[in-house]
Amino acid sequence: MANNDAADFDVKIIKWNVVAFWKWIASEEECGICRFEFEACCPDCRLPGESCPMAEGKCHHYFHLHCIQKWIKNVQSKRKCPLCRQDWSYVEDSSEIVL
Amino acid sequence: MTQALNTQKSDTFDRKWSDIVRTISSVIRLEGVDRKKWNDSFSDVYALCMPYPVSYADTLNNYLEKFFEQHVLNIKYELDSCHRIHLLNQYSTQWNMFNDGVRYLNSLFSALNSRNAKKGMFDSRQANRLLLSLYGLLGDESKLEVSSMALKCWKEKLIIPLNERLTEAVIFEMQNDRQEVTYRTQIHDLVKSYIEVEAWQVMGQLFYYTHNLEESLLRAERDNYRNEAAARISDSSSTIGDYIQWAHRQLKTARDFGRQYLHAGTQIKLCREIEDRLLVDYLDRLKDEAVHLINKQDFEQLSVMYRLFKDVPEGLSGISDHLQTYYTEQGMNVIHKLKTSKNYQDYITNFLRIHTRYLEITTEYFSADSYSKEAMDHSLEKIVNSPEFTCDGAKAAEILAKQCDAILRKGSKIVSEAEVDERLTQLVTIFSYVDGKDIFLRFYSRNLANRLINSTYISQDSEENMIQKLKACCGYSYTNKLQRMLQDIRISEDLRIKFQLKAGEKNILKVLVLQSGSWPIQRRTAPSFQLPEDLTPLLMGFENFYHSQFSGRTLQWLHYRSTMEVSMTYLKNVHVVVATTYQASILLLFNKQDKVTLEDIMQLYCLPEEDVTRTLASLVESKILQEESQLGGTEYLLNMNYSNKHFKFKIASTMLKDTASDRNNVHHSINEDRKIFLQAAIVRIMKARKAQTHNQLISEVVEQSKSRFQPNISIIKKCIELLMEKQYLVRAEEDKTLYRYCA
Repeated sequence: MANNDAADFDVKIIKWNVVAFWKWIASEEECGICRFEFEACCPDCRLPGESCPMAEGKCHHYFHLHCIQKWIKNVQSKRKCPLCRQDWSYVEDSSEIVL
Repeated sequence: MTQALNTQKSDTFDRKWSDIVRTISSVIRLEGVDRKKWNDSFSDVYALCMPYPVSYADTLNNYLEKFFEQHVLNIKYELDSCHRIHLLNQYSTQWNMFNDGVRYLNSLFSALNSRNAKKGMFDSRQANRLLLSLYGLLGDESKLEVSSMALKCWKEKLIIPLNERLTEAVIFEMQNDRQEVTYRTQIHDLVKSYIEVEAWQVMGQLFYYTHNLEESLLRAERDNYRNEAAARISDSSSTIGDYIQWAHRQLKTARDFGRQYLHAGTQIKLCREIEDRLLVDYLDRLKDEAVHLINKQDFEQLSVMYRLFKDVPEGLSGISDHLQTYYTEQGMNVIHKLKTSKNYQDYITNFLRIHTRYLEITTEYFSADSYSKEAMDHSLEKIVNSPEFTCDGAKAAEILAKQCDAILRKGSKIVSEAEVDERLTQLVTIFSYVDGKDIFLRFYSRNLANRLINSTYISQDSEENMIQKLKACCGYSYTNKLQRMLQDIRISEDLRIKFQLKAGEKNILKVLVLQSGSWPIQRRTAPSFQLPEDLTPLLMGFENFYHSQFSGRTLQWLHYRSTMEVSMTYLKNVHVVVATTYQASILLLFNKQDKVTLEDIMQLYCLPEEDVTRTLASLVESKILQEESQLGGTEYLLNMNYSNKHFKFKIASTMLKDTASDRNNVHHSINEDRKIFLQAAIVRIMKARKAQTHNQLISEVVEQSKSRFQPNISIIKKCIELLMEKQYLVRAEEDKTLYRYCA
């Protein structure tokens, strides 16, 4: 190989087509209520994806948004997280990221 | 009664009546009355009907009735003495005259009519009377309109006594010469008279007509046609074909004659009667002939027969069965000849040819009626799903999916949008007959994924177009994943443009961000894969950008699906090669060193041995790398003399080469999917119905899955057992064939 000069590239990338899946950021794989993956949808939805998002509570428990909404509406829930019994409130900083 | 009348009437009435009688005697004979005479009588009638000083309306009514009675009786005597040959003619002349005369009289007596009507209006029992008259039960007390009174009289005093003779005359005329009935108008008049004498009743039931003239007519025609049909069919000098032609003509003549000269209801009954005698009585023999015609391919003749049988109950069912058998056999012969062909297109072309031919036959000869269409559809289904319809191991669903790919992929020879559309429509036509629509979907979505990820689709519009066609055929849920794949591509395109603005002109990165549920891609990736150092920041840059666009989401890179375009400047002629990320990563190593070993790569990129071996093999096979066996193991070098006639080319990847095992994998996973689909269907049904017998359940499951695939009964049974094990269902204790849903 005549060319030993490292600066002079022999092989050069012109274009790179990368494929990726997007996932919800969560420390868990599945919803604590319906036990379906976040990449699947809640039992009431027919299609996964943007229309069935994930929600995170301040207690760092994750659910499908629809699942936890349904739980909170239930009077017996007393608006507590179904996993740790702390008062439920959504993590707000997710909206900050959008900006 | 006469005495009572005598006491009532006065001189005024007598004088006026004798004037009126003179007028009406002329009118009823249509002899012509001068204006003065008519006007005088009109005002006489008016005066008699006036309530002051004395109303003679009732008397007038009675006298009029008597007048009609006498007049009709006179006509009857005339007809009585009439010879049979002239009877019809005479009757029709008399009836027409009478009918017209009565109409004039009705207006002459309008004063009487309106008085009678008024009287009726104040009658408290009017509602009752209406009801009674509906059933023809109204007694004498009712006052009819003058014209109705006359018609009623004609019926009672003339038609009823003469009915037998009149009927006989009509039947004689009709049978005398079926083709050339001389007294058509007379027959028409007669039938009309029968109907009109009853039609004035509020809901004219035509009771007398249907039970006398019509019934006799039908009976006579029945006997007549029965005899004639028997003679024709046993006549050895004429064929069944001739018989069919004859029957066709007979029916047509009868229909035309009936429409013009008979009552509408009678015409229908008459045609039905003739159909029964000519066709239904010989149904079996005629059907044998139909089979014969089908085998002879004499569709012209068959078409006549088909049209004849259309209105006959159960007439077409047998014929269409045979048609179906014939279609299937013919089609299978064509497909059978292709046995040795390894060209998918041969199967497609031939099937389309069969389809076109059958469609032609169906529309041209059978006016595309539902029976013949069904025969065609069933036979085409059989053909396309038969084991013979297999090319090089691929069944119809796979063949179709491959052909779709060939059309929609870059490099197909079809250029014009219209032709693409036409070809796709043809494929969808075949697709609609295919059983394993889920198998097609599996192959199709994988091909679509490849086209979209590698940007080898001809246009998004064509892709969208095809998806719409499939949607029209199988519904929304069938195509919704395909639709979402296209959507991902559109979103990624927007994203790329935004990212390009941010990253600047020199950006080489293009990212497709996909929804994990919709794509037929495994999430399998070597998680440990370490990108070449200089590439990592690029991806980090995009990740940051992505987070700024979508919160709460992260990206999972699928490097094994990613590709790079790499220029190889070390060669005499510079080449650009399209390679997978793994392949390109290995090539990049040669910027820093002359030779690499398998272990180097594994260590540097943290890839499992299997992946590295396969990637190296593909590079060696395409002659970009050379192997050199050394003591310590194999070393890989760049092939400095590499050349290719194309400036830009793709390294064939060894990954997707093994089609046979690949097909097995697909079929295996499809079987798994079907089981899940069936279980879901069973649970859905049982949840809704709570309890269901075995057979009901099976048939409903079949119904639900029909649009996707034809389920195997034994698999359904297995699924039911599985669900019972999981305690979704239990067998009812009292009835072993019954299942109950466990909530």
